[in-house]
Amino acid sequence: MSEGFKKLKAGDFNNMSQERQPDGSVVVTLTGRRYAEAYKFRVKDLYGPDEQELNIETGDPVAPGT
Amino acid sequence: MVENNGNNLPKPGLLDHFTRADELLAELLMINRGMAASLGIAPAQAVSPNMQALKEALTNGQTIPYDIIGGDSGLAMDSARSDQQFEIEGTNLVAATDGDLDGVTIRFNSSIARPVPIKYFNPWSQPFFKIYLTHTAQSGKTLYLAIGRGTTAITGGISFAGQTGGMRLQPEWAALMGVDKNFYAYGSGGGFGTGVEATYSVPATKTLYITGMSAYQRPQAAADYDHHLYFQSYIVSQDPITLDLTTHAEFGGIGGGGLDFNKPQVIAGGLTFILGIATMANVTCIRHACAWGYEL
Repeated sequence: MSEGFKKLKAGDFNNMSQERQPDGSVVVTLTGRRYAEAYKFRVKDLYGPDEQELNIETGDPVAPGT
Repeated sequence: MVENNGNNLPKPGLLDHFTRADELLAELLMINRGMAASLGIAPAQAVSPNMQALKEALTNGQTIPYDIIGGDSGLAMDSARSDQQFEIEGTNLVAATDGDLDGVTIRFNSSIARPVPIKYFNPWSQPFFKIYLTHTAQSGKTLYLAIGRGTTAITGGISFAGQTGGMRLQPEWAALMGVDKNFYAYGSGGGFGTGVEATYSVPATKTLYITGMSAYQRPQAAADYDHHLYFQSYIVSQDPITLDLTTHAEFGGIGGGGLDFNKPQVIAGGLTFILGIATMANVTCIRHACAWGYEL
């Protein structure tokens, strides 16, 4: 799970945008005033039973633990 | 106390006037407290035994009346600090830096106290006995924290001196405290009835308050700008198990619009917050939806 995905789960952000992708996944961008970085990642079936983080460029599944 | 004036009628004596004066003073004090409470100002405290001891220590030279953490050199800000504890007692604190006070927060007296963004509360004028300092790294910059002792409430009376009061709406306060939340959903493609959504599962220990929303759409192709642009936008909360929808706020329109809620939409921890916009236009549109509020 990427750092950004962890922040989403923890609610650790001030601004979140979600862009719908043609395959139904979403590209999530998080920013917060407690940190300087912006976190961008791609998720399929966000909060659903088949939730899975995807490679943001290719849309391929990201192996767990990476 | 009364004197007998010879006809057995009570005659006010000097001490009776004092008593009346005391009563008036007490009434005035009650009125002042009531006004302070209605304005949301913390009630002033009478001199506590600790403060009395501090006053005596200051008078006798046993306590240094003020100090600067880190001495004349202050605190180097090259490395970030996260709740670094300083055992130091004071009645007020003033922060100064040649850098930026953005991101400098202090928890007073407890590591779980709400962090105070010192940029907005400078000086701080409440007694404390230790602080927890957090700031981001600022290369080459120095933070000076001047700790004052004994200037608050040692006059022996009720005083608001040194305190500032203000009133803010909760969303404003949330933004100042950094717990505001802003959501944005966007996407393109699809025809009539299709939409885009942003979803967020509120952490179990928190509550999300939505105070406003907006939405708009436009045709994807310039040739379609002469079509109508009806849309439907919505925020809902959904139970992740039963999928029941428990909070609704919706509006539709042509092209775009926005709403500020006079009462926040409350989404409890554990529920999924959904922000969406669906097009009712008969052409392909790009859709945007926003919602904002705060989370506590």
